[in-house]
Amino acid sequence: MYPTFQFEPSINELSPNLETIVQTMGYTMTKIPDMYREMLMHTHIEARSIVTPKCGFVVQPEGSAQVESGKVILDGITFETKSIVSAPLKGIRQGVAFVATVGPEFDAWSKRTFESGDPLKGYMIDLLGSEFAECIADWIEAKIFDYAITEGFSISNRYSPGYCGWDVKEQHQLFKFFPENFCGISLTESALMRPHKSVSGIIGLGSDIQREEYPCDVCEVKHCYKNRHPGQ
Amino acid sequence: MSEILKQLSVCIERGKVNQASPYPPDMQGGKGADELTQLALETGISPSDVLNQALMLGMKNIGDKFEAGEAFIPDMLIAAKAMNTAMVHLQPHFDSGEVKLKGTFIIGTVSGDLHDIGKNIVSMILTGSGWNVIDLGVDVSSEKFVKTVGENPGSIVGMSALLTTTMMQMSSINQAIKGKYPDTKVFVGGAPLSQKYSDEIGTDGYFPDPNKFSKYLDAID
Repeated sequence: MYPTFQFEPSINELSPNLETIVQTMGYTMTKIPDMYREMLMHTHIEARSIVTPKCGFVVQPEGSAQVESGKVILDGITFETKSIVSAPLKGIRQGVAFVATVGPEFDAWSKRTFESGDPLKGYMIDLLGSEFAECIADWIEAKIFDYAITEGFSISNRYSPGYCGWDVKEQHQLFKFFPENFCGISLTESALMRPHKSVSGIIGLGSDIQREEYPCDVCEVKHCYKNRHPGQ
Repeated sequence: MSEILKQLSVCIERGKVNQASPYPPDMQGGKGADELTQLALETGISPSDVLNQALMLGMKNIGDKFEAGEAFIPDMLIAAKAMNTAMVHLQPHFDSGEVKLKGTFIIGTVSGDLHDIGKNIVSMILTGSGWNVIDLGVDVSSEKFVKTVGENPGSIVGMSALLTTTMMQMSSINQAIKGKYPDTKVFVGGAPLSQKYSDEIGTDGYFPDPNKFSKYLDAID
């Protein structure tokens, strides 16, 4: 049994980046039409009463991590991550697996809205859900950072199956680290998380590890929503 | 064209759903797509004319603006909402066969992927262009695509993916469809895709823009 930590952050601790949402919609904060700004603000307020944030992480034993070219092995489980993920993890001593979710009510709200024939509000809910999920992932990353500091380590960036060339199917392997239904998240056969607006991934811990710019500049997928260097 | 159809077309293009809708602000208080569609049918305008001369025209106009970079996704979606409202009045005429649709288009996000906004936009544009769209949703298996093609002879298929890792599924799904129904045309869309990738996996084309895709389908129909 791994050391396991679970949290329910307060909604007041989460501030989704509305500017990112506005940019995804095709505008800037100054040029978005008033009616869309108004709708987004209302939907954001509504979203804050629907999000039920949960997140957690499990820590693998020290010395149990191994990194090879294109592979990360965490406590005996091999992940074929491709080198975008494995290269910056070289030198980690142990792995931390984490999850974060906006909660099940959000999915139901999104579904209801689309089915009621309001695709614009549904679209805004979808974008807000992604931003809230990233906020909760940021929140748990900060907790993992605090944990690492107490152990005398620093942390890597976080990496998720489905991104940076890492096959989403390996989420099944990743979930072997968690207790069943951890934070209320389950996996479908095709490795999708339920609730949909959830984030999972790994973070490496080590003495000489540091968080670096994501290597989005070498990635061929310029339209990835996780692109940390938009506009390339 | 009748004045009602002109107004209806503008309501679709601008996303004016009904009289109660506060959007767009400069059309507040006026009749929307809901009331005008009903009025058009009540005054004897044929359902086909309502579809072709108002709904499809409105969607085409906003689609052209989107293609030209003068409109954005929210504009397309608010137009789609108005169109959905109008379509409720036309549905009985589709069901009775009085209004002929262009054909059947089957669309879904491939297995392992749940991103559906792009797929939904394509679905709405094609519906507004007069296609019978069967939306299989997200995380759609090869078997489900093949089964639905079998149930809808002559249909066209669209596959969507947003992840580089899930777009790989498209190749095997395409093979499964064409293995059983070789004449089926299969198209792909989604942020990480390209025409090069479509060529590599043997699908019939990649379209980054739903409006261009709609025009292409009209040309090959």
